[in-house]
Amino acid sequence: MASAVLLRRDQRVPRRHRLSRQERRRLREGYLFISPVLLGLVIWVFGPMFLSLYYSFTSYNVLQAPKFIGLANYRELFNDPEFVHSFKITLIYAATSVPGSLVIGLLIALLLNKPGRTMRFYRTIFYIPSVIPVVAGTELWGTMLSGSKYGVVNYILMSAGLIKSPMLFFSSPNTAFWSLLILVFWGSAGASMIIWLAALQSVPKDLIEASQVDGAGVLRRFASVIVPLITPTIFFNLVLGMIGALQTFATNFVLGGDSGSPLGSLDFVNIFIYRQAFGNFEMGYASAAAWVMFAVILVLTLLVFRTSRRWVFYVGGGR
Amino acid sequence: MTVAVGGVAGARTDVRNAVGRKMVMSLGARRRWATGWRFGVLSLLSVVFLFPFYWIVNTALQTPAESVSLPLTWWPKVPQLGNITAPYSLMPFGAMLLHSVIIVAAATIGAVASAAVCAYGFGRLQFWGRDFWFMVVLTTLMLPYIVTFIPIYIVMRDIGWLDTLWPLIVPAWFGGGPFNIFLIRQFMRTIPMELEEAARVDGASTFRVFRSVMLPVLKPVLWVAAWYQAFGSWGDLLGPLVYLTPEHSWTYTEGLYEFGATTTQNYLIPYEMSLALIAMIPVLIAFFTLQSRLIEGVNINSGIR
Repeated sequence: MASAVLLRRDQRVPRRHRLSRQERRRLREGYLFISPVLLGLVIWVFGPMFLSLYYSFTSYNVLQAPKFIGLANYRELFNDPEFVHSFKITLIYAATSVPGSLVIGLLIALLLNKPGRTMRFYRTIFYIPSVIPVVAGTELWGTMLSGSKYGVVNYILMSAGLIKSPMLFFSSPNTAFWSLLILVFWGSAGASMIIWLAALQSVPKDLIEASQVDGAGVLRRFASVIVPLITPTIFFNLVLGMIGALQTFATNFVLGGDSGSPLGSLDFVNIFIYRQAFGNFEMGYASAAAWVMFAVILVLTLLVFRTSRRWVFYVGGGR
Repeated sequence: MTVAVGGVAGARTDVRNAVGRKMVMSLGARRRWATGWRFGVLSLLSVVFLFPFYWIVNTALQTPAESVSLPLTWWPKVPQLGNITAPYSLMPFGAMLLHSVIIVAAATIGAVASAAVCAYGFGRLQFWGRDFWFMVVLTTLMLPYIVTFIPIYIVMRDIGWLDTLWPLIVPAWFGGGPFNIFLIRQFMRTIPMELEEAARVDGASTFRVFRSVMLPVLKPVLWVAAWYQAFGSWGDLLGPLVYLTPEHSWTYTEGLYEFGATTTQNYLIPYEMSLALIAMIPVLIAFFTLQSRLIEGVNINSGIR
């Protein structure tokens, strides 16, 4: 106890004040402990960020030294139909997959929000797909959603008489995107369900009971009591989910290779960048695309944070 | 509980009966109806979520001919256990497995050890600049990996680490990523200070306190951090794809990808599925061993606000 008080007073000492021996020791020890991550920040984050920003203003094919070309890469990017297309479908993907898996996760969580062992059993079932490695899971779904009559999903739909000829799924640019969503929902709904469950369980019981006494129905109770209380969770998941979705790589790479086949329908930004960097060895061009992506993520995140003041409600009004 | 009338239609019949009876239902009956409805929907959904697992086992055990004959095989006549080893004669999967195991082990040890040390610094020590650096570390969560990926690749190439396992191991030793540091620090905050103070009064050094008092208590959350790193290293595709070019240097995940990409002919689907199944099994075993801790871990994480 005593030392806790002492520590706090120490922190209030103005910085210009000569450091006592104890303070110096603390400083040394503190930075020693966090030195791995500080070194990591320099070696793996800030150094490379600086380099990549520099490359983005150069023409660089790895074999010859980078040549400074100013903003040419950026200008070219915005006139490159491939990039504009990648960019567009990646944004559409983030805007559909994130809310989609949040809603599915929420619906499952609402069904599961009861104590008991059976519920824990179901919870495990829905969560398992979230721990399946992406490459293995995607290949499995690629087989199940095969565009031939040997794909099991086609087989079931045809046997049930719902379709006459096999659906093309990942073999057609018209359906590839929506087929991707199917496997993404399968793989991510469970993770969002867990977070929803934690949020739902944090809603005070007495508030629920009070609303029941006031005669609020299930829907009303959900919209007016539960949703406002779990807005921090919605917010948090929206931000992290969006950042993750904009960076999707492995799923699309397994399904459509480095061209995002069929016909670029799975050519998300990271696939585009990969192709430019490790297919065409246009490191400068690829770096510029990466920075555009970074800028978009920053702007979107700030936007969500900005608007959050209006719709995120923290119990007790703090923060 | 109402008993399902039979087959798939059970749940639906259940609902229809229940709706018919609703008007005269007592409160207890109504609650039972709600429970039945809830379980009906949940069971149906679990079938959808679990079907792929049944299908991968089913396909992995078929003969190549069975996998492309109609009607589809719902369970192979003679389960082909040989499919598990058959792909090994087509690509060096043994070596790939070894590489993956080395990477997972080395990266996980490094990530957990360094994340624990850093988390202790951020969570328990008092020093000038601590909170600032912690914020900086957290902010890097927003940085897309692709931004730093290209320069890091070029550096790795320049120091001659291409086609070695180093690029997939060494970066993990620098704090194990902001998420793991955050996770461990968050857990540390639930541990009472008195524990360490007693040791300090006895004259133990800071490192000693960390190692002998803190580390043992952190065990549950360290397992969670280990899981995240191991899961990430095991399933990583982009890293191996870029750093490991010749076939003999690949990781298992990379081999699985290449096998699927180069052998699109239908007759090898059972092999591909058996390889994919093997990729899932260690993860599933780890998940079921750590399940309760992992789910708690996710909850800690959602507590960020």
